[in-house]
Amino acid sequence: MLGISFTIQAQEVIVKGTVTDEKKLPIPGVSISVSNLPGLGAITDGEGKFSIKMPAYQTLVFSYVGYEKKEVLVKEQRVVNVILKESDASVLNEVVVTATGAEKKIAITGAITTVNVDQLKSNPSTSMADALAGVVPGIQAMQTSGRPGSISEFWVRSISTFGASNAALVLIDGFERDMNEINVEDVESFSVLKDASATAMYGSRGANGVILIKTKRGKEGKVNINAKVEGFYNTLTKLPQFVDGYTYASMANEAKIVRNQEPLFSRSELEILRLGLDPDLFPNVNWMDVVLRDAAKSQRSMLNLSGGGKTARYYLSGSYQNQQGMYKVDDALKDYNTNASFNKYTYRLSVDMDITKTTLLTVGVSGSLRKQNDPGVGSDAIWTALMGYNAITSPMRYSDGKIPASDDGDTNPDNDMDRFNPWVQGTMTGYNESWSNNIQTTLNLNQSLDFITRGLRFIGRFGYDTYNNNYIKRYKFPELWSANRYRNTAGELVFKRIKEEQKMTQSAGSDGNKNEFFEWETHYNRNIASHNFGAVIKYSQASRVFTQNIGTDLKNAIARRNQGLAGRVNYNWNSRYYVDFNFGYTGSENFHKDYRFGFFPAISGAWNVGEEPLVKKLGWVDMFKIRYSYGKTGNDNLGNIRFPYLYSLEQMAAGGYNFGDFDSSNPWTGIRYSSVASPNVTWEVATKQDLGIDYALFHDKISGAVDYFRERRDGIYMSRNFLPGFVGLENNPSANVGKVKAHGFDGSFTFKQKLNNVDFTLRGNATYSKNEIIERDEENTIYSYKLQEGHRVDQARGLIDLGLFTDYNDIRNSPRQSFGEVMPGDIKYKDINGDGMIDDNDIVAIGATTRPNFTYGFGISTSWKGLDINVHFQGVGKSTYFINGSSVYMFSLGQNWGNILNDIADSNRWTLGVNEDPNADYPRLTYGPNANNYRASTFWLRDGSYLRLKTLDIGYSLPKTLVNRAHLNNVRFFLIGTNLLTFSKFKLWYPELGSSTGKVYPLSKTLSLGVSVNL
Amino acid sequence: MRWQIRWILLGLIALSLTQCKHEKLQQEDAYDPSKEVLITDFYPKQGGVGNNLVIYGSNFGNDVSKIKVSIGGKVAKVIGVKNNSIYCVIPEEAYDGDIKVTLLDGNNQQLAQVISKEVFAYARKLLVSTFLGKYYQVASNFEEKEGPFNDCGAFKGITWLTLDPKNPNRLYFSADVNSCRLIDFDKKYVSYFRTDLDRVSIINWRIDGNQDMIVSHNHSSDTKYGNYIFSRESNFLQKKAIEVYARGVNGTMIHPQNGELYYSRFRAGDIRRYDFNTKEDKPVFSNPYSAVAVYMVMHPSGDYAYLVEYDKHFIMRTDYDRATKTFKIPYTICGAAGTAGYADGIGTNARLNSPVQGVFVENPDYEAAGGDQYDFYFCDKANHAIRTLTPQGRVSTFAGRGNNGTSGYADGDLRTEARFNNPQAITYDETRKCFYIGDTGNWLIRKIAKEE
Repeated sequence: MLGISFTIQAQEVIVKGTVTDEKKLPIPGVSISVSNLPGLGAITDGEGKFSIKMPAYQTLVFSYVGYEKKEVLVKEQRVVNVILKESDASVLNEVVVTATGAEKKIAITGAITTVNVDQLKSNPSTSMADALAGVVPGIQAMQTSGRPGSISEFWVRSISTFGASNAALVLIDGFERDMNEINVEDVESFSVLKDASATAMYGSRGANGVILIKTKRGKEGKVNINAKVEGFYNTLTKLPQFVDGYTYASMANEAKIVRNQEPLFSRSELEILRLGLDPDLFPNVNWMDVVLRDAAKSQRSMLNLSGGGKTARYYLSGSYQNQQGMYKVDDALKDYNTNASFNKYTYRLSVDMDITKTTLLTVGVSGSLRKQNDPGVGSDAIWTALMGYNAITSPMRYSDGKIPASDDGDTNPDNDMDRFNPWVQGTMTGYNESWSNNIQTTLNLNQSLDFITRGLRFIGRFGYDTYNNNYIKRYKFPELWSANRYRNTAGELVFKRIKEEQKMTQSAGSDGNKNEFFEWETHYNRNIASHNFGAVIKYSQASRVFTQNIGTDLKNAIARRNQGLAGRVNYNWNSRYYVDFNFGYTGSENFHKDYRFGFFPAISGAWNVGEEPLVKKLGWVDMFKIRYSYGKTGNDNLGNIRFPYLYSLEQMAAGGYNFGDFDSSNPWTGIRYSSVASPNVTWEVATKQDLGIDYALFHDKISGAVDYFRERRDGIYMSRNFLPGFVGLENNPSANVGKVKAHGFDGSFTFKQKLNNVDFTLRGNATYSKNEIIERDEENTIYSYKLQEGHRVDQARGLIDLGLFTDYNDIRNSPRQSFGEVMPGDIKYKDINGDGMIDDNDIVAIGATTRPNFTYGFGISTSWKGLDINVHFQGVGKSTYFINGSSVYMFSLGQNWGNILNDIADSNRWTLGVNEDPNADYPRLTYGPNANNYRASTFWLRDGSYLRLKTLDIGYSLPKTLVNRAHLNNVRFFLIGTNLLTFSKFKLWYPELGSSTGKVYPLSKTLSLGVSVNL
Repeated sequence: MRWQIRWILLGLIALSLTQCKHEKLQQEDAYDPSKEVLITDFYPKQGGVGNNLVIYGSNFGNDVSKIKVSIGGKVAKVIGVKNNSIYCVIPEEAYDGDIKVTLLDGNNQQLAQVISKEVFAYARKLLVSTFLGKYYQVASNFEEKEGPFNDCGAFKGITWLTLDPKNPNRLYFSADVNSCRLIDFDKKYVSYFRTDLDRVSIINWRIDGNQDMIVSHNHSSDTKYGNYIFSRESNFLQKKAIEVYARGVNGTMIHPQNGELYYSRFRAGDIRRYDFNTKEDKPVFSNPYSAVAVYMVMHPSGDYAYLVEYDKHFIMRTDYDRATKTFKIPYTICGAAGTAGYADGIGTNARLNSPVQGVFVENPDYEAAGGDQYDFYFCDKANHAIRTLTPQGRVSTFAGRGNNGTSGYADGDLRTEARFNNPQAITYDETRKCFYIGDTGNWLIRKIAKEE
């Protein structure tokens, strides 16, 4: 009330002036606002001049990107000339968000990476996780499907467990929330906490690393509006290319003939096929063309508003994102769309209120709605059929209009969805709709307690989230037919009906959960002379309960609760020597009460060499800091297992105890243990060490960080499958018995240079890790190489191939291969144990793991006047996987299923009498299964490493003078290309998918054009 | 840096080019009246009915409805035509083999005609055809009914086929729990043959003057009769039981000279002998397995019989002792007891899978050599094939499993095309010189005969 009456009474004046920089050059586009009076504001023109109507005795605020904010109190003067100072953007002032709040980078003793959020914005995906690989040192990621709405799997540093979960803990505004539902434009900061000192406060949940995301908040000043609109043009990166019908049939004949079998197609049939004379029985269909579009379009737009006065500030945003799938639709279908699609809507509102001078209350509400559409059978079935249907399996439609399907002889209606032809699957099976929505509420109270003692602060935080996910599946299929392989003697087709028409049916389902969080923290910071001291104590509790689809088991409806007390004490002397002690004392009620709470301490220290007077004198060392940490964290995620310390009982199945005489039955069903109690089960414990260097040299021209880490994970929860029978258990209990160690490094590097008017920034980062299983519950064996112990987690295993057999003499003189008869051109294996026999005992660890162990990225940014170009490459190494499945194991599934890749048909493959090269890329063909050739071995192991041009971002900002005339602040047009080029030794399908069969939706290559406007 | 940009630009250009790709619709050339129609070649040069024929040449047009091909004066079905090639199917009885291609206009008026210089060598061959019954593409639409040959529905459960020895125009089949049928060649009509028995396994014939019919009731009771005589006098309407309790009769045979009845029993696993004159019923020998179906086929000479062991996948031979007028202990002739499989070969190297009915057919090739003149043709049910067993014990596949397949429904060449689905019954028609096959899984009667 007081403020308003004051405003009414105040005298309106016009204030004019000029804004210049320190070199007296005018600055256009400076934003001028009146403190505490939102809505009043002006922008300087091309000559740096401004004019504003305002009440007297108010403060003018001048702000501009790259300059320090300046405030001027207007009393009687009517001309205000201001000089803005360039802001000191040195790394020394960079701020890092940690478990206990924002801190200066120089003071950090743990391994924490702060991500430049702008680098995540150019990613066209709907999920932030897809943008992380190669951008964030310490994160390795893999995107295994390109279907709209699918998300990347990522992990911090290294996979150090074979337990239920290796996923990092993601906290948004302090609470555990899903990273993929947030709009990247709302992100203020993104930090990755990697070592024990940074994560010990999260106790039993921090072992796999922690990601902290803070969302944007309103800033005092006139309303600031940002809008961005983007349109995307998606094509698939790499689509497997298959041979035409004639090549397929000829190779099928070859496969038969080289194994002394009758050819599959007669010469006249091959001729009919070659000439295309019978589109019913000998069609030649390119299913990829039939089912897939050349390109799909999608769009993204967002709008945010922020501003406010001295006592209250707001941030409001909304976004919409849409991704279309690649499937063609039947134009006749008007009622619904079968194409895959993904829509995401987000909104976010937060208000900061200064209730008193020392009390800040923040209220936030945010939410998201994600809608997904998919053809009735689902994308996986379509891709399976796309790979399974070859050019001659069936036509799209028989000439009399009947709809074909491949006859696999299976009449179970649930089993053979993938035997529908891909066109039927994509367009005639109805559609699946699913949506998930989320509402998150956050309340935050920040009270300064300086009146008790200086530097004391209290923060209370409360969060309440609800989430639910629903689907409706509308499923149908048409009447399906299969024509007999031969026409009858009259030359007519003979049909068999495979399936009766299924009219549209529907089914629905849902799940949901509700989360409650509560935390309080007390901070104390004090500097006395050169002694800087800080302490934090934090209490947290969280509960999560599933609200839908929980079945009848009472356990399912019990909230999953965690509770913890954490603290931190830090001290530094003169910003040179730092010591930091962190601890978490956390508990999870999933464990027996004796094992419920655990103490996770971590200690770390840093020596800021750059601050030493001697080094400071050099003048070119801006920062050089050595840090080391040692500590413990835990991982209490056992997957979906509830209360492992409780046993379960069940009624015995039919039979039970027999009280009858011999050969007669008189059963009594009793009660038995369906699972025995494992009372000692608890969390995994990670012991982590980290040695790192942060540096910035030559006035920040060169900066970066390097970390070396070691980790040992004890007590990995696993099922004890190899207990001897005399223990007398009917099922296998679980225990914390596994051990894994891991080590590796991550680092980043930035080089900035200015040449005339052109700014260059060169960036690079890399993460490498290697893990090794120290202990695992596994079967004893006389061959130690058969154990998983001593190898990587998820290590690839197989036989070692020695090329192909050259002739029968070679076969006679080689160890006997026990998998089946071999011929020249079949794969020859190495006899590891020297027993003259190739069998399962010769299987050893080969290659690495499917998930990469080395991830790197590098790029360059340049800017010149309004033009900026940003190129980013990303790659992975140390990834290997087996290829198999019907497109690699050619003809292994016989006539009606499986296809031949062009790359394989044209490769240096072994062909009888034509190319009997023992080092050929593919063995002698077989029609049907081949137990000798088609098994995991180095022959089928492929190197999954790749390097790709992940992002090319070209932007042009309109000149300030032009923009300001339209009362705008900044207008930027941009063109972004994603996944434009990929270099990889592996050519059959896109390497990142890590797929062994290639039967997945490939990643997209995207071009996007957009504009962002700020006013 | 510069090379990078160049590559990127190149990549972008390539990207935009691939997106400009339009779907090309390839239109085949139509017939051009100003040009001559030519036949340059065709393939294959020889064959029989139902074979594919590709004709090469030029200016054939692109419309199947506007082209007519005749071979040996018979119209051949044209399946596809491109300007330079035609695909058609060799018609029946195209003996002369001259190939004539005629182009028509929209009103079926001849525009051009060309005759191939070379003649197609038409070969008569044994073919599998569909003799009786309707093939239901939609299985659930089936009907079982009486009716004329061209409309007699489906035949479910065909178990045993037999021709009336006195009237070769009457063919009967038993069909387990389904209805038996009488197929009348005179009236060209299929009617139900009513027995009032709930499960008929086999129909056989006596050798006495009337040649009455013996119908076996396959039941699971120890106090019921197993075999009934249907008298010719009553036109097979009245039956009289052979008053011996017999449970699970699957196979019967009559000795062609002495006329006594032999029958196999499922549960007991034995073969018994019934003498019509003395009414004496006694065991002959016990089968090596019990709870198995044993079908029996008598050699026309009366010297031996084959015991077809359905459940154990092999065939045994039992020789006739003319002194005691009974059969001796049997021995394995082909297949391996208890091992199902598919393999041609001699004796126990061959593999069978659920064999059922067989028939002895005289082989003129054996005439010169003397000795046993008969090959044994039998339905190898689960292998979906008709197989043969020579007097020397060699098993080979006679028909079915076309195109290296297994079950199915396809007519045509015995081995390369034809397919059966669980065939169980077979008989040979001496008057018409053809086989009838009960294609049980397809609910049809198939025929194997030489093109005339």
